[in-house]
Amino acid sequence: MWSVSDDALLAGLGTGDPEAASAFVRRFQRRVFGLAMTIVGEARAAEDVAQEAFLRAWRHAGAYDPRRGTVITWLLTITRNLAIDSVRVRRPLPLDPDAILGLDLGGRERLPDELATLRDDTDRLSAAMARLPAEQRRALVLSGLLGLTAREVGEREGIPLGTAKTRIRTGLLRLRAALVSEERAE
Amino acid sequence: MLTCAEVRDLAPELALGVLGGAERAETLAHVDDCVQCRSLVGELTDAGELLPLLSREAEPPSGFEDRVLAAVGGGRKRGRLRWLAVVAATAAAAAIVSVATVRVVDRGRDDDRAAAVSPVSEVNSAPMVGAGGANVGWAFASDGRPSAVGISVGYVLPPGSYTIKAISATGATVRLGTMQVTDGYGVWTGTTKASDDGLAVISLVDAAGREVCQASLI
Repeated sequence: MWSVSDDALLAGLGTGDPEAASAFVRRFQRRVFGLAMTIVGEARAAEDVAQEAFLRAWRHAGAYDPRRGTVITWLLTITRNLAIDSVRVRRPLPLDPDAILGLDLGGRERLPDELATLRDDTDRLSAAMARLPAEQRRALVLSGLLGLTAREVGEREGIPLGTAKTRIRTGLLRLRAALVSEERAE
Repeated sequence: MLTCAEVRDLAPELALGVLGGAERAETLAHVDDCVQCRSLVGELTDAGELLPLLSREAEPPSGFEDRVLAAVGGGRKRGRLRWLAVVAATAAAAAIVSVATVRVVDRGRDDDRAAAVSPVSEVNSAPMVGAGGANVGWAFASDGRPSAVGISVGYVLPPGSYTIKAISATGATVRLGTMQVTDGYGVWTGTTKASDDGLAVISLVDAAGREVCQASLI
């Protein structure tokens, strides 16, 4: 079952196939739960978020469009949105973006060979993030990962709204430029 | 109507799914009509959607997989019944108000449901889309006047009362009523005589005036 593509597993999950559902959960549960933990910061709430994310994936498997991204980015987007909603209800202040990113650039565990492409994508992203100025990297983590608006980023970082917007926009554009540049170089 | 410069200012937050309320609606309206801004938002979204990959993996608690699989098995019946209940209620209301049989046309799915005989009153359905493009529920509306409307939300929306706003195909805005959300779930059905030309958009607005999700029925 581990050799089955992510897309095929998701399709199987959508049809309610128990074997596909089990394999899908096993393949992605560490990433989904890890992202939920990163955002909500508490195991019980993170488990609720992760469980709901898999339920959403099952319910809306038919809405997944492979032309718009990979299964893992789709699933993590669902997880992120659920986690942000959970945090907004329970906890107003986000975690420290340095604590999230600083520990993760290069310290990733080895993944199964079947996920080599994902590992490469993640490594490329980590490398591109590491090359950004620290203030842009922090703004991207606060907004893109933890779901803060530009105004909230400004308040969190003690900078004007316009500066927060500039950091997010510039960081995002540089990140994309770096990733596109690497893709073309391959 | 926002200018391109204003949309470029808001595009990163739109792409990251953190833009809310009126700004989000206005930006989306501009992006729909502007190829350049749509392209920019698309590029920013492509990059932003990768950011969650940066989070560390973590081992979920013991038994997590079993609990998820049990929820998937148990959720199937619950979710389908909830969905079907709202469809049925909307269809029933449509049948009453139009004295017609009903055909349900589900946008986003391939299959038509509930076969019908002429004359036919269609019940259009579409996902309610919230922040970040996540599906938060479904909206249903029959054609004709009055139009039957049903909304089902099964998502982690904060509990509370939400105003149901609709925009007709010609752009007229009407308030349909209020929906109570409890434990992330809410259901509302009713009818409106607001429009001869059908409803184009149905949205939920929270107490602070922020549009939290919307469905495009046309």
